[in-house]
Amino acid sequence: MSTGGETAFSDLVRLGMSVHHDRERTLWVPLRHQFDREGPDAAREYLLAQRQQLAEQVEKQLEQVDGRING
Amino acid sequence: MADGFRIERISIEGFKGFTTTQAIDLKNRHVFLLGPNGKGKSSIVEAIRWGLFGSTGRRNDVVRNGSYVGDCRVVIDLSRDGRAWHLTRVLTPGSGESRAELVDHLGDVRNIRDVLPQIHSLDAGEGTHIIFAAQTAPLGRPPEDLSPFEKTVIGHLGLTDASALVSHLETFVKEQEEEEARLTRLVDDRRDRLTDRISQLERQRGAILAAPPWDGDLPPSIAETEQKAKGLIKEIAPDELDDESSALLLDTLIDKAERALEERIRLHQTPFVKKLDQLDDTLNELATISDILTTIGRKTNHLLEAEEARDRVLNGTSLDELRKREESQRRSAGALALRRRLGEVAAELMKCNEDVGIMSCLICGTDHERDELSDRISALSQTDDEKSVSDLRETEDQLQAVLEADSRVSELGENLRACEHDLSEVVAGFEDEKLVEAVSGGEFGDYFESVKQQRASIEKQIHGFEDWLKSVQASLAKLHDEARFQSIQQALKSLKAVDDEMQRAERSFEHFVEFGESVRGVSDAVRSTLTQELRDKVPSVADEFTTVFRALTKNDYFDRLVIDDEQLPKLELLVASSSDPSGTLHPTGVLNGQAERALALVPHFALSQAEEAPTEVYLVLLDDPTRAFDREHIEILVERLAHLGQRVQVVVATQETETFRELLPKYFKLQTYVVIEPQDWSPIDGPRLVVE
Repeated sequence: MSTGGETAFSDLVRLGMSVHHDRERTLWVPLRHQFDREGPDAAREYLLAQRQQLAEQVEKQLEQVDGRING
Repeated sequence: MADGFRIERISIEGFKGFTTTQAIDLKNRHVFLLGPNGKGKSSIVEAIRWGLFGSTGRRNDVVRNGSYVGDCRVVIDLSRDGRAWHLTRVLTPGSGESRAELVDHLGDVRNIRDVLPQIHSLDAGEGTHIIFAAQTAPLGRPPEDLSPFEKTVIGHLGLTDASALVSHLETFVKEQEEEEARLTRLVDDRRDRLTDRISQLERQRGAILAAPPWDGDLPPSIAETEQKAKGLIKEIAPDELDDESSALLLDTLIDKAERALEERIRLHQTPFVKKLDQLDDTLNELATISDILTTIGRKTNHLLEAEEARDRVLNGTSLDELRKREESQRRSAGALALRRRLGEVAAELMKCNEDVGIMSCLICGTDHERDELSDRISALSQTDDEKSVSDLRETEDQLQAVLEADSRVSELGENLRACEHDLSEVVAGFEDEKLVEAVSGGEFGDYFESVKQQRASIEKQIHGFEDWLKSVQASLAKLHDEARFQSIQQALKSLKAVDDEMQRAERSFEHFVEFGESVRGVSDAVRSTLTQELRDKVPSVADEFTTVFRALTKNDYFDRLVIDDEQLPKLELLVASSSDPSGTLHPTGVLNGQAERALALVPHFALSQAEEAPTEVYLVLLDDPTRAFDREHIEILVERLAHLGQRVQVVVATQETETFRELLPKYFKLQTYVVIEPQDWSPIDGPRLVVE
């Protein structure tokens, strides 16, 4: 659904990030891809999936710790 | 891109106040629904909305006529490029959700999502609705509900997606913070528990190291402790240490040692203790026998002493002889006493006779010589019986003493026999023939002593075993402590691995937090960009708004519309006066009713005229847009609608029946619009529509 206006917007966002940390620009690359191609909801879904993956990683490792503390 | 659809005909059945099907032929004309409230004007507008969107835009709105038994159905006949399409939406009784069907000009059912993606993806908004509004995205952009001012402007500027992204990101950041807090609690909890567990084990290890159970300074290795366990098993039960034991774990080895010790106790100590108990019982009974034998001996001595005493009293005679002598002496003494008495009586009788002159024999009457008689009587009275009595007394005393001594002998003899009876009964209770023989053979003392020695021997063995047992148990206790030490060491080693795992979890959590920070950075950048975009574009929008607002309100005092620059990216519409450029106010409570109503229409007129982009359905739905309008402003509105109607189909519901009837011919060509005036609503027939 990318249009000239919206693409310009995501470009502007990227330019706005140039003074920020690389980490944000790294996140913006796939996020912008989702946003430009499929819209803001897809971008949100992408972030939710990323967060869920990271949270599950933490929870899974904590579960392993939990099971072995008294084991 | 093909042109959008236009409405040709609407059929309504069972929708709100409608009952049986009523149709309105629009034929691509504008529709003006005129008349007072409560006649069904708004229901027609709502029916079009519901037919298109599946929603009237009003929350919890009940669309189906509950008293009508048929379906709730709206059929919208559409035309595009001269071809007829049919959009049918039905809500059957008992069903919670409507279903829609789109049939194309060839009679084929088409996927609504493909043909009308904008309409399909968004619910209707309440109130004024302009479907043809600004469209800059060719695909997927939802049709804008232009009622909310902010959404209208954002949509007009083509920043809907950007605005949604900002909204999503801000929501995401808020949720991220909550998730970070939740995970922080989890991570901290696990870290605390891990630390506590390690501290607990280290304290336990410290206590063992303070008083180590092993010799030497250095703790033994697990192999050394296992070797000790095997050594202990070998000491307790050498046969138990087979090849299999060498492969056993430390805890299993200790269990094996404990079981072997229990077996050793069962096999060795228990029988000894049992035998000792038996010997103690035997010794107790032998002590009883010994006491009886002692008593018998003592009583025998007493009996012998009594018999000797009796013999001494008998003084060489026997009891029978003594009794005979006593009897003889008793008779002799009696005769002598009688003789002496007889002499005394005869002397008294002779004296009595002499007093009366009788001198003959007292017995036979013969005359005797008196002197001779007197002598003879005197001789009788002078009989000496004292010795006889004395002898008798002596004999009686001796006899009494003998009888007493004999009674004593008898009594002691009885006692002795009673003791001997007791002894025989006690001995009879023993099954040990040796004991019986020993008692009967007078060798009880030897037997008693042999049993005592036997007990002492067993007791010595038990003490020896107990000493060994104490030693083994002490070794086992130390082994337990060593095993516990080894277990703690292993647990600490394992927890070290857990700590590594915990550190990995903490690093993962750091990544989670860094991810959140990145999202916050992105969110700030997107928001900042959107704000800048709005700051650049909003002034021209405000100018357009002002132009329309002035046209609709005929230059009231507040003749300028301003979008507050300070609130960006939030858009807030303020009103201002050209006579006081510095002052801006929120419109609520400042504008009169007509100006407020006009303000609500401003974005629709301003932005719809600004865009020429094609859309799905060219339609403007306005429900009661003239509330609080005076005639002059109604005319302005009608004029604007006529201008708008050159490009789109207009559907307007209004109470201003007379004014519209007067103005419509002035601004609209007759063949371009239709006036419908709902009449006389009834529960059975619904609204009656008079189409002019």
